[in-house]
Amino acid sequence: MTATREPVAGALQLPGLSPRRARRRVIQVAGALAFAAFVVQGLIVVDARPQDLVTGVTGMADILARSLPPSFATLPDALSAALETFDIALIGTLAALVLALPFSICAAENLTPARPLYIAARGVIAVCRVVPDLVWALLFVTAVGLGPFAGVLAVSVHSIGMLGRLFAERFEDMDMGPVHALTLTGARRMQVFSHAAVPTVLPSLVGIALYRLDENVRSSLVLGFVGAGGIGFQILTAIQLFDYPTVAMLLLVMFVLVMAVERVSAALRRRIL
Amino acid sequence: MSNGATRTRAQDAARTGADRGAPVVEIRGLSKRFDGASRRVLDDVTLSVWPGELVVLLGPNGCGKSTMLRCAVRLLDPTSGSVTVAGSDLAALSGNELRDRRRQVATIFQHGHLVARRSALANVACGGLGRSRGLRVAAGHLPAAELRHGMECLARVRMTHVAARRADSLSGGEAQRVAIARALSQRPQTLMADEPVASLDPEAAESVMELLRDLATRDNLGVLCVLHQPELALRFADRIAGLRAGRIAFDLPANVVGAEAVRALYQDER
Ligand SMILES: Nc1ncnc2c1ncn2[C@@H]1O[C@H](COP(=O)(O)OP(=O)(O)O)[C@@H](O)[C@H]1O
Ligand SMILES: [Mg+2]
Repeated sequence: MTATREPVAGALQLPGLSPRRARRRVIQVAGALAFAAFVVQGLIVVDARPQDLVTGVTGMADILARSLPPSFATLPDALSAALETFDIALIGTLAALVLALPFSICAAENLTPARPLYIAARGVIAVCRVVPDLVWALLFVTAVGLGPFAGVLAVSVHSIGMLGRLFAERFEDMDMGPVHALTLTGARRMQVFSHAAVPTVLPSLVGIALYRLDENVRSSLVLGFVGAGGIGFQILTAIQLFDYPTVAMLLLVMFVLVMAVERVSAALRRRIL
Repeated sequence: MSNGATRTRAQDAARTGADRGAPVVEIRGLSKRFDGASRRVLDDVTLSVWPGELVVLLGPNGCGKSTMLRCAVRLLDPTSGSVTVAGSDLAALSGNELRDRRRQVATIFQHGHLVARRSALANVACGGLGRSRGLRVAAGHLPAAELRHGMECLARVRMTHVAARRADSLSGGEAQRVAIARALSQRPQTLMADEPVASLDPEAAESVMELLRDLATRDNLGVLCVLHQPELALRFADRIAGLRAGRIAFDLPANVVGAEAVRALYQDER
């Protein structure tokens, strides 16, 4: 087949540019143009005006000057707000952990007890995850009022989705050899789960949860801006009062908190894995 | 071989047949066709294993050996035929009854399939889970009695020195022996093995085969071992069943099986 066709193709092709290569060139150029058009529409839509950044520098310098020195008198308040932020993340993550585990078992193809449970668990996990925690916070602030409890609820509902999905994936990737081996010994379903599946995946589940705690500390900062307690709420209040030295102190404490949690969580994960 | 004398006795028993009592596993008319496949992978396979004998199921790759074993322990549902374990048909059971029957049949595979992050001893003690009930065991606790029994099982396979080591630090041969100890801690009547030496070096393979031989002879277990090496089969088996394209080609005492019959198994039939 190729033997009869090739001479014909050879007669048609231009020197140095076969029809196939020409076609590929056209596709490349079209692709580059499409990408450029995409970027340009993006710049127009976001209303990018770099010149404003230049004129705005004086305003930023002004705020910075008014923030210094940070107000050390407010340090105790800042610290207790930081503790509140951390606790929102901690309690929210723990609550999510307790609920995400059963959901993820149902949502793992290889462990789910029944098909309807699988579909239901996947659905719950998807809704919790896809709705951003900020939106959950707005909902819970209307439900339970301003304050840290709304933050805890928002963090935990969103984390059920995030943890549930990652846990389920981890279960699905796990080596099923030991699970089958123990099933064949005549062990019960729950025994197989706790004696074969859990020891296999526990370190990575703990690692995922620690990483989630780290993420949740950062997100509970932001949740404060919509009234869900903690250091974010204090920053918002201080900005509204133009109290920039206090804002500076709060940002400083926040920076230390985020760094500390990140470091500790990373160190713990390294030790476990 | 040091166990030559006992082997001959077992073979004599295999030949006379009358005084053997009931088989520990009786496979009758077993056929298996996978969903969507046109060909039967297993076609009317009949095979029994009596206590105290090592039966090797021999055949080329793809002839259906693993499928037969998987049907026998009901990892797969046979298309037709029956598997009788200790007097009851596995295919007719489910739930607790199936679990109870499964305890009588221990299975080992090409790899140990140990829980990597637990100690060898914990892995062995897991073989006794079927006997335990209660919340603590369901939550991952191993009863002290099972750990003690696990240690005895490790002693039986001469592996007590690795008891405290994590399973993923064991060599292939050590892992396989520990897997056999886990199988023993089930207190089974039957041991099924699917190419248990396929991924081991010759020395480790030799010692695992000797162990299986010894478990049949001394512990009176019925052992059904899938192999694809005729040489090992002829040396260790009491009885060899040849499987060719899903059918039993022969089922004879090992000292009667001729080289010609074995060679015929491996001749391409398709
Ligand atoms: N789950 C399955 N679905 C379809 N075909 C299968 C399946 N498992 C095995 N087979 C087929 O059954 C035949 C026998 O396989 P197997 O029992 O694994 O052979 P052996 O263990 O003797 O090498 C092979 O042709 C294989 O392709
Ligand atoms: Mg096989």
